[in-house]
Amino acid sequence: MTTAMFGGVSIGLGAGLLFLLEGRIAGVSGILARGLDPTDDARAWRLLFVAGLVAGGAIVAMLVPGALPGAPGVSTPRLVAAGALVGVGSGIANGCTSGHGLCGVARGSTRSIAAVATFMAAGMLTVLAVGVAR
Amino acid sequence: MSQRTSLVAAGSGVLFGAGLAVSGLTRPEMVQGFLDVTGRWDPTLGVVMAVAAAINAALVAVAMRRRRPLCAETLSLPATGRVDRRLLAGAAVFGVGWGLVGICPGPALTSLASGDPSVLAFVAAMTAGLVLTRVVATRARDGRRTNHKESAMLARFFVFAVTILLPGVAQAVTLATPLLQGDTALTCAVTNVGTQEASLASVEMFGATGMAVLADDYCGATLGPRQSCQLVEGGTRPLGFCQVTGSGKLRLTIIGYDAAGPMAALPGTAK
Repeated sequence: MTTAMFGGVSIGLGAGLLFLLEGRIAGVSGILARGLDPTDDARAWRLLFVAGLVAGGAIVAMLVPGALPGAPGVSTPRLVAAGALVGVGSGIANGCTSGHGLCGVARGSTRSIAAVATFMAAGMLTVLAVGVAR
Repeated sequence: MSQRTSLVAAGSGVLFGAGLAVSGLTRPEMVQGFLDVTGRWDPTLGVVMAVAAAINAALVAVAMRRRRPLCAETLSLPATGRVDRRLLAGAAVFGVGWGLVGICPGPALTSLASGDPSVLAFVAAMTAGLVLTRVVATRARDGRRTNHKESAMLARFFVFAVTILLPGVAQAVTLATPLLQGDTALTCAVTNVGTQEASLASVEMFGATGMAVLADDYCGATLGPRQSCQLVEGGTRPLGFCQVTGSGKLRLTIIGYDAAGPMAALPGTAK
C-alpha cells in the first residue's frame, strides 16, 4: 500500500505541475482526442504528454517486473468493445478518470463529481453483472 | 509552443505514467477489485486516487490563487456548465467499458509500454471512439456540411497509429522480451500457502523474479487474488513462491524464485 501511495504522489505531481506551470488540465482522454485533432493549434504538447505516459510506464516496467501486466486475459472482441465504450463514453462526457476523477474533483467541479459518481456506479454494476454471469 | 511547454508536458506525462505503473493502476485486476464492492473489495485504487487528488488539489489551489500559471498566460479551464444528460450518459457508457476490463485511458496508454498486443487493440478501439465522438460533435456544431477537417482528422489518427505507436510498441516489445516470453514451461504443483490445497498446473516462467502464467486448464478454485502459493516443479523441486495477482487467465508474480535450489521461506510468512 505504501508503494501504491508513492505512485499516487507521482500522479498528483504530474497533474498538479501541468496545471501550476502551464495552466493545463491533465485529462488523458481529452489530451489524446485534441492531440489528434489537426484543427487544434496546441497539439504538440498533448502528443508529448502521451509519449511521456508511455515512457513513464516503460521506465517503471524495466525496474519493477510485473508492473505492466498488459490487458487481462479476456477475448479480443470484449477488449475492443470495452475500448470503444471507454473512448465514446469519455468523448461524450468530456473526460475520464483523470480529467473528471483526478482534476475535476480537485477543483471541486460539480460536473466532474457527478461524472465520477456515475461512472463509478456503472463500473461497479458492470463488475457485479460480469461476476454474476460467470 | 515554447520549448518549456514541451518539457513540462513530457515531464508531467512521465510522472503521471510512472505513478500509474508504480501504484498498480495499470493492473486491471486491481481496478476491477476496487469496483467489486460486493465481492473481494480492494481499496487500493481509492487510496491512490485520494493521495493523487490531494497533491493535485494543493498545486491547483496555488495556481487558482495566482489566477495565472507560472509559465503561461492563462489557466485553460473547461467551460463550466450544468450537469446535463449528455455528461451522465457519457460517464455511464465510460463506466461500463471501464468495468468490463478494468482499463481507462491513462493506464491504457501507459500500458502500451508492456508491448502487449491486446493493449494496442484496446487503445486503437478507444482512440477510434474518441475521434469519432469528436468528429460527430464538430459536425453537429458546424452544421451538416463539413469540410476536410474530418478526413484530415481521421488520416491523422492512422498516421499517428502507424508512425508513433507501432515503432514505439515494437521497441517496447524488444525491451520487454525477457519479461514477456516465458523462458520455460513447466508442470508444477501449485500449493495454496494458507489452505495447503494443491493443484497441478502448467506454468510458464518469466525469469527469476518475473511472472508466471498458469495455463487455462488450471483449476483456479483454490487460489484467489493476492493469495500466496508455492510452486513445485513436477511435484518434487520447489521453484519458489508467488502471489496471484490476476484473475481469468491467472497471472502469478513470482516474489521469490531460486533456479539453483529450494527457497527457504516465503518473505513475510513463517516457515
